[in-house]
Amino acid sequence: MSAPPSESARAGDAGTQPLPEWSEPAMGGGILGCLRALGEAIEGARLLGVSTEGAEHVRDEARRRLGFPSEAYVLALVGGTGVGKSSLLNALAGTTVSAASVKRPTTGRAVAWIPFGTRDELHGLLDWLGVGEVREHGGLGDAGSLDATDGNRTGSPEPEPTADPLPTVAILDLPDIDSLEPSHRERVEELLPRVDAVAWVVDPEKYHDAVLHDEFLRRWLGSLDRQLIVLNKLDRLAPGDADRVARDLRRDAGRLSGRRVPVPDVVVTSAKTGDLDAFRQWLAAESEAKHVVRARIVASIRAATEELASAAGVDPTQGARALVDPAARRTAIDRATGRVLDVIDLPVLERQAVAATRARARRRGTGPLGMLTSAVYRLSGREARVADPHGHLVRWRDRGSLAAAVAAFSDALADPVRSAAPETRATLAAAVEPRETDAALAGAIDRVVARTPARPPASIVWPILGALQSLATLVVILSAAWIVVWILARPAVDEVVLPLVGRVPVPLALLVGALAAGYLLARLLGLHAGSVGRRWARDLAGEVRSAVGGAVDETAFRRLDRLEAARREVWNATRSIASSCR
Amino acid sequence: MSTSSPRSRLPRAPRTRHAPDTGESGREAADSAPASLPALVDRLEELARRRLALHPVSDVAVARAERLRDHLAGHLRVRSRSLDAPLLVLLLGPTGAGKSTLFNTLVGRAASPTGVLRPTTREAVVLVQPADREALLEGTLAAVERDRIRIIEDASIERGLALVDAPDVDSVEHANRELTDRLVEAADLCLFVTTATRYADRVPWAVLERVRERGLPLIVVVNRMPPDSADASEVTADVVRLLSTTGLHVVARDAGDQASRGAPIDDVPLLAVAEGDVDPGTESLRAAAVAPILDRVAALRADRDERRAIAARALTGALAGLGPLLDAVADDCEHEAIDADALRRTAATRFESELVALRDALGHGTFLREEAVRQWHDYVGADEVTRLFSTGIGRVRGAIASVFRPTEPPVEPVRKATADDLIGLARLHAAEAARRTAMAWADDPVVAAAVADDPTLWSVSRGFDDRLRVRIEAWMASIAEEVRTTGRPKRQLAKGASVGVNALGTGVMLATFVHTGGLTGAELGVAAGTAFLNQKLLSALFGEAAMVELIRHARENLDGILAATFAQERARFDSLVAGGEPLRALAADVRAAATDVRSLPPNLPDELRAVLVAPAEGAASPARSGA
Repeated sequence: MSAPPSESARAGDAGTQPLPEWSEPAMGGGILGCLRALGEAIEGARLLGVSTEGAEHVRDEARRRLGFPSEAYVLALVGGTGVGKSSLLNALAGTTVSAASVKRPTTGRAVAWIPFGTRDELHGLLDWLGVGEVREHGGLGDAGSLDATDGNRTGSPEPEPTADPLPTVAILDLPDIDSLEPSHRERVEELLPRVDAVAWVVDPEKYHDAVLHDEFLRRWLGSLDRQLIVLNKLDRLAPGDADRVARDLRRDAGRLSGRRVPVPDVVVTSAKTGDLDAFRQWLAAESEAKHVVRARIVASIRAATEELASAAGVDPTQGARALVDPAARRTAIDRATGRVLDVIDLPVLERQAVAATRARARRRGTGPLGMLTSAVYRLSGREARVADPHGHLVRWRDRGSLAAAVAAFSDALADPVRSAAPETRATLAAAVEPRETDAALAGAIDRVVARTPARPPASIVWPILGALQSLATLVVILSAAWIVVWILARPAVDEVVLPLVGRVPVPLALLVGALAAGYLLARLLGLHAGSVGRRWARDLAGEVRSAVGGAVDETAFRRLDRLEAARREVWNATRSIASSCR
Repeated sequence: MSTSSPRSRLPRAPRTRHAPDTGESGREAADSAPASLPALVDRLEELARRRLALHPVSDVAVARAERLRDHLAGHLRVRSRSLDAPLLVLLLGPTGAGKSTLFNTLVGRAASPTGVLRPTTREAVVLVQPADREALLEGTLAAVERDRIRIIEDASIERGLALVDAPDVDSVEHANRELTDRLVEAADLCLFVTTATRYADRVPWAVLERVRERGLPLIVVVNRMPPDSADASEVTADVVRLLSTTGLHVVARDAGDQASRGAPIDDVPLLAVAEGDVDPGTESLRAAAVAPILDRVAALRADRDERRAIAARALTGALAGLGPLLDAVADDCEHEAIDADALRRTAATRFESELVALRDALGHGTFLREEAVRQWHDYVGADEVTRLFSTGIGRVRGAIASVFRPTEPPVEPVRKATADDLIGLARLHAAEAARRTAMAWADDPVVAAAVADDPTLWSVSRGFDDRLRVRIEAWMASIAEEVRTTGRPKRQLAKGASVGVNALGTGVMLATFVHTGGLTGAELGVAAGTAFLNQKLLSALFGEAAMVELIRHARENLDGILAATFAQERARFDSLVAGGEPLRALAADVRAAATDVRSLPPNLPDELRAVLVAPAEGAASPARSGA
């Protein structure tokens, strides 16, 4: 009994500044880091559609608790009506701390029994817990009591105020969990998240009650650290029976507490005969308050994250696994891209691109006559119809719907939704909402279309060919004129000597030659423009194909990717809490 | 007030008139007197079966329906036929209250194991006279699983009374609670055993509530009373106060005080037993501590009329409690009907709107892959085919082409591509409808669990594609068939014959999706061009009116197929909730039955009692009037 005072002294030194002691360096593992990780898990789980209320409550309560001093930890006595919670506390105190009675249910309000001289320090904490009735260990009666302790059968004050045997624990006597008075149970459920340790009090009659096991132990054992099961009313049992009952209880506790927390011990007491040694020993053992407070918070954080992870369908003991496996994802994207390209209709795009290049070449490289024909071509509207690759792209919506592309994504999600955790199914199934996906895909295609170069390429060859063609045209005109002049304006008297090339008159030869040259030039231009156009068309098609592929890839699974990221976040947080928060 | 008879709480029977060897026939007549009652019970049992077959949704409704079933099977079925069936006296209470100890006291030996490990008793321990065994197992306990009953036969006791030690109502063994609930429904007299620690527990209280509802004669035993007499009287007063709040009229009895004669029959006697009155040798209480109960049981054993009186009282209570129970069951049905209708409406709306969207998308034809349309375009644009609807040189050219370069209609590829695309689109919309419905239902507490249990609800059902493909292929075949049988006069068919029935069918099929819709020319690409050519071909071969008719008919058939497919998908949801109609019909039947129960002669209990207790006199007339 020499250790506790020194502990209390240490706690008192550090207690002047409540918060810094929880900062990471001091806390080693870093409880603030654990809280942050819990926050991340909450964020991730929320994105996945998992209800995070419980975890948020744990986080908020933990933060609040850290704001209060930790010289003493709060131990709650929890149990059914009539098991002897108040009697136990009174026996422990050696005086009437909490009124015990034969009438059921007895205690309707929580009563706190706190270390001597800590009333002021614990004031805020007790206020937060909503406990108004406070007694001090071996204290000087009700002097300086926080409230009037209305009509309680308070015992006589203990004579010696020194040597507090339990300097680090404030014991709360809580209302029952199983009586006809539902408000009692509500009060317990409200306080359980806030207390630092629990003694589950049972008696030989009630130790196997469904209420205790199914609605309390199952739910709380895993999120508590320091806890104990007290089998009270030992006086009711034959010596051998107590051991059998305790064994039975231990087995249950082991079954209910899960793999994470140590199974709470079972001690046997009798408040009636004052046989409390086992309970006293437990209270005195390794009860550094700060450690208890911290361990409780860590346990509740771990329990809360594990619950979140399991609701989110994330198994922290396994590797992170994607919802939609990469192969299925690739297949879906390829399928969808194929269907989008079907709608865009690349073969027609290429034909139009070649035609547009030819039209451009014709304007530039066919001389005066070509200009005339291309003007006719343009004005007739034919050019817009068959030689407008950009127009073809822009009008993609007229040629088909994206339903098939959307279906590819929707299909890829069907299996993952089936195997997902129930709580996340709605969110996951909504990751490919057809109308939204359709709109997103259409927007992405529009952007691709807008980026695609609209003007066909040009070539330096064409103006040269055009100049030559113009020259040829000029020669045709001149030689034709020459012939006309020669025939129509033949001089009456004199003979005009036509220069001859061989036996052919020069104008005729020029005319024929220029015509032939013009034809050849036109063919040449056609060939050249065709090859330039085909190359451009290929490039254009390739560009559209890859741009569409990229757009589909980044658009369609965008929501799913956010969910995958959220899952990873939950997984990471759960793992880091499991490995580094203890 | 100071007679020694402990059983005088009930109206005294004019005992002298009762002779075992007389009035048997009269009693038989009396037993079957309310002739309508067994028939009514049969009817009610049928209603209870129907109710359970409709899968009550909430736990409360399930419990209520099972309660009705068990109550009818365990109690009313037996009691409506005979008041002489073995009387079932049930020891009931929370775990560890000392039921088995009291049982052993009543039996007089350690028949039911007691112990410190909870729950102690995991089966119903039944003490019965061997001759009553069959009647009990076939009657009152017929609905209880045989392996949950442990029979203890005792030939030394008299016939007519079976004592049952029930398992607890509140331990972690939930099966115990179920068994006990059934026993409560079957019992004729209930000994509710609690303790000074337990008496304000919520769970056993709920069972007591049911005991009161069904008008089961009740005796309350408070065990382990504090030794201090002031404390004890404080506890007793508190128990009486609590019980009174439920409407039970409780009268505290002292173990020594047996002066209870003349008390009103609805009084509930309360007996307090002090802590430590246990005799470890027989695992039972000291007889003196529970003398009133011992006397009561002994009296019931000894006196047939007492038994019949208790049975009659239990039956009366049961009949009185039946009306409210039936009303509650009917209410459940009606609420469920409203919920079911709302849920089904939700599903119907979702599926309908997606079906409309699907039809809309089909009408635009844009769901078809370009490749298939182009293939058809190439076919209907070929000279050989265009000659059928062109004039002059086109015909000649076509005729020549048909000789040298015959065009094969791409029937199979187009059909397959169309079916694939159609199924893909239908699946997309059906999956979306399912997703929306599942999302709405997952938020509804009535079906949330069922939706969570079946993850396939979030998308189309398994085999959706295959089922739809079969239907669509049949649809395509039916179009071809229609083209063949109801096509047009011979001249046109002769022309058409070179195109082929299948190709024409494919043309009609495509025309249901790809139609000009007022646009002409090729501005909108190959689909519109195909539509134009396709329609020209069809109208040339069938005539405008017949073509329109064919297309309309094909379209209607397709709509029918899609509607049927969607309905099938929706049925997966509908099957999770019982239909509103059967529930409403059941509710009406249950209400009618409740009315009949209430219109049983109001004086039936008295009348019954009069008849039963004094059979020789009152046999005929009043009983008949009750029929």
